[in-house]
Amino acid sequence: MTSKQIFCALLSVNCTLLMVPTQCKKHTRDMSKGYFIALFMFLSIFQSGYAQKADSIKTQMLDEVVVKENVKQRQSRSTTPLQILDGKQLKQSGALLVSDAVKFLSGVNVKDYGGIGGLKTVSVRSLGTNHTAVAYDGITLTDTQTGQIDLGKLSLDNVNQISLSIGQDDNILQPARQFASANILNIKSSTPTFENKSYNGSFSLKGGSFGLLNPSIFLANKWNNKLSSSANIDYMRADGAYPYTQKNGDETQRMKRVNSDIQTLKTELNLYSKCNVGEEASLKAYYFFSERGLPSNKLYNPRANERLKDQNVFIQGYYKKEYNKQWSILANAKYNFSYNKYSCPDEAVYNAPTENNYYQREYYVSATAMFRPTESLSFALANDVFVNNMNADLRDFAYPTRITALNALAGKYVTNRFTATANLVLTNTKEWVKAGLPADNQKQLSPSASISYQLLPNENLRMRMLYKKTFRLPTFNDLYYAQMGTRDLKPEDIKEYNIGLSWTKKLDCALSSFSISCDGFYNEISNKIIAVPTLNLFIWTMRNIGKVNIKGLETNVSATFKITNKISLNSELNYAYQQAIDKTDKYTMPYRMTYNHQLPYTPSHSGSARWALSTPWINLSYAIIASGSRFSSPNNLPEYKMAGYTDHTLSAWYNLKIKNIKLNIQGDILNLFNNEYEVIQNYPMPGRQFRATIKLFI
Amino acid sequence: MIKKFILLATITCSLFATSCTNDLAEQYQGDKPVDKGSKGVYILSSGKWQAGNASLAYYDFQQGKFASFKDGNNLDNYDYFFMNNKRKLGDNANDMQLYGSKIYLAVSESGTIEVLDMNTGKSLKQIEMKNATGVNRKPRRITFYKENAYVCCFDGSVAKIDTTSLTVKGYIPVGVNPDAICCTNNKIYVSNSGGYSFDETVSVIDPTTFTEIKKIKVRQNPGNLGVDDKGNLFVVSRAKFDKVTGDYDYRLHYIDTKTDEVKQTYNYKAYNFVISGHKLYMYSYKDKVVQVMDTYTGDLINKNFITDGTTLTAPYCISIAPNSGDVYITDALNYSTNGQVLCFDQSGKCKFTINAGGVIPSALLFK
Repeated sequence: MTSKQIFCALLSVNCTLLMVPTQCKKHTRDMSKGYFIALFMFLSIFQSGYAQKADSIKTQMLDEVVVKENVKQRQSRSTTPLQILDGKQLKQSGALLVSDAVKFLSGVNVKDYGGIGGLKTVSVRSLGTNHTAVAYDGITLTDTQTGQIDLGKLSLDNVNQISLSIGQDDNILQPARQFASANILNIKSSTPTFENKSYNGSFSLKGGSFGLLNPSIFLANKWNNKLSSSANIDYMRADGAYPYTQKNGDETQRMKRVNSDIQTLKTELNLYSKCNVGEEASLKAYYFFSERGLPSNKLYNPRANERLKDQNVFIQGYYKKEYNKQWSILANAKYNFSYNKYSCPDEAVYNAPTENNYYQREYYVSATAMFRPTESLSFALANDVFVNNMNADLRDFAYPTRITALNALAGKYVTNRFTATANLVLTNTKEWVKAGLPADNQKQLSPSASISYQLLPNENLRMRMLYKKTFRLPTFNDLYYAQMGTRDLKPEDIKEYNIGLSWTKKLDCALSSFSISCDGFYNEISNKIIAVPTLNLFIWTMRNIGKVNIKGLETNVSATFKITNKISLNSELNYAYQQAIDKTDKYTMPYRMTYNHQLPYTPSHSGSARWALSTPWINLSYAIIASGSRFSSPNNLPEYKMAGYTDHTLSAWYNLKIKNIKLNIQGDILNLFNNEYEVIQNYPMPGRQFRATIKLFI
Repeated sequence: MIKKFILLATITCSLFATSCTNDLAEQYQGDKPVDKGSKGVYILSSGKWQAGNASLAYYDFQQGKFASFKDGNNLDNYDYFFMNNKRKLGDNANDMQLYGSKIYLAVSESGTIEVLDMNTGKSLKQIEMKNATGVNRKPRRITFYKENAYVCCFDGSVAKIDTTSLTVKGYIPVGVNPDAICCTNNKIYVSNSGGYSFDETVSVIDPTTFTEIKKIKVRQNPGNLGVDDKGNLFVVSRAKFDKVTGDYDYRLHYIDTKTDEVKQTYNYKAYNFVISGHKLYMYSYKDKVVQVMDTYTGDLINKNFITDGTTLTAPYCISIAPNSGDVYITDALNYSTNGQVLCFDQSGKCKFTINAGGVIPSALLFK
């Protein structure tokens, strides 16, 4: 099979997917058959791809320059705002969890319910949690039930890079899902590097305030030139019983956080294969377990007994091959199973203790082909199909199943000074339920275009522009949850506009390099899915009535000073301004009181700063997160105003070598000034904490 | 239509102005808020879920303003409870009742009953409503019989509180998730709503022995209870919420309190109701239309009580001023902003609208 044939086959798959849903209302059976045919075709291509491997080796060439592009270059060339935290920066931030680290990215708003155990979700540029896709090693993590990924569940151990793209990444050889969300947070685990030995390993132990204990082991082995593997296991526990002050009028009471403990276990097995030049594959098996308390803070009633248990297993793999300079393909597949259990042992006179179990499964396949007719022009066609279903032991549960097909066509044009990318994503969904009515099938087209242009020939000063129209599907909870779900919800629509400048420079003086970027953006959310309370506080319903306009500005400045040959200071400053205004029709009751008000928990001003001093003896870093005042209610009355806050972290570490063993010791003081603040009203954040880490490399 | 639009626009603008200045005291729409037979009205607000902002406001009809004070940030604060007690009321205040000169407040999520001296506004006692293992019983509604307060709790029990010593005399189990309680013909009646498991009974309690003497089978999901001037008992059953119609399937049951049996069942949309004399004022969940029934005959006297086109957004509580007979309806609006209190005269015209001074106004009490 030649590469052209592959492309044609992919195109036909694409067409099948395109055509089928138009008839789906009448011919449901034909439609699902169509999908299976498509799936079959799509899988058979890869088999033939494998079989024909030998033919294509001769024509194999790899464009090393593109691959080896460093972080700073990638950021400055990007047509979309791209923020990257590499392994070193993650270390400097003193962060324990992914959610701690993303607080350093500008325009990111982490909803933090406090402590290690508390829920932490992320909203980028005020678009809401469900509009940020979170990808782990190239494949998105999903939760079709809530649409939210709790970043507090993910520890930073073994994470090598976190990057946030507004819109999507410029790389067009990726699954269609990566094009299909308003922005994407990529988490990359460390891939093992072998210098002169065939094995690699580390052991780390972290301990700290409020009962934090976090041991982890990482082992990697190189079996031969083509095959290597890695395994890691990471356990974390914390009791989270931190003290805080509760103010109630004239009384201040020193309280201790209860039911904020957590235990997590994460294990991962990876298999990496570089079969031939330009051909690689990897397989990952992942297991996660967590058990934690859900803190609450009711006045005069400190009891909190609700528990949440999560289990998540997935197996994912990818295969990538460059047939020649023109053709390359990428295939991804994943099976995901997740289980959540909510329980509350509190017994009422007639009510038994509560326990709810939720099960979700996802089957995912994706194939992308990229064609590069000339040096500077490339096209890619990505096709993803995934099936999600959910099961729960709730009364009258709907048992929904959703099939989603995504077809993305992307084009990219690159010259030294100019980059342009554009893509078009077609989404088709079909839903089934065992009880009641299923939600409407959706068919949506979402375009995006972005450019980057180097303004001066000898200066790395670039201008970038982005337009993206996208949406998010209603979640299973939005559609089916008990009395709250509404089946006729439409997708929530988003329009993003961004214009920005970036300038990076290397100098031959004390200030050895700097980069500045500044982006202005405008986002529009329409058909926003909002929970509207109905008869009493216990029953809410979902409606598509929200409208939000968001204007904002983001600035990132970083500079490196070379003080002496061996001492350098790295400094980074981020600032974001956001005006996220509720424009929900003021005549659509009942939102008239919130018209033109700032969204709750959205500070107008927020920022972060980080200074890292590297010396041959010790490394020091100091980091600040700052937030201006914001409102806890969509109605911006003065009584709902929450004061701004800053949170400071001081970290120090040094590396030493005893014979063949490398040792890394780190100490952190978090919330250095013991500032008392809340991100979410009534959920106090912990005060000063200490943490120590020792990491041993073999 | 255009007129309505302009009216709505002005209301919106003035509301917006209200929220900007936070100056509730002088804000109202319609006539100057006056009630012929009352000095003032207490407005209890539930507050948002787990936001700790249950509050009590007092609107003085004679002075034409809210009782208020300057808080630490020099902002006007309208929480009458906080003003007199220098502490917050708690989480999710659900009911407010008067007995003698004491006001009883049921604060559900905090698990407390606050007993206020009506003259000073000071809390005489905060009664804890927890079970033996410390689990909140969630006190919900209050009624009185011979020097004792009876409180139905969402955990399935009814508490008996001595109104002199202000101590809990005991609890008895009734049914699943009791929703309302009332007293007539020397008996206490409790509607067992059933929560998600759908109980369908009304418990009858003999207050002298404090035991349940009967369970009257009504229909799925019984809700509010009310008594007319002849001592007849009415209870609504709401069955399940129907997603297709977007409303409940209600029935209004008339219970004979001599035999404790359902005597009559009416097909009225009485999602919530209040009885004054022999007039039962009710509204439906979906249409929010206020209708009036004659409890003697069971006939609808008024199919649409509101005559001036005033619309309700999220009616939460309906109450009749004892002397003037004016109908007060609280509107929770979007449940996260301050609600409103609307006053209608007997002809169904909205006399005035005032800010509720709190989020989700859940009960009214006239002084």
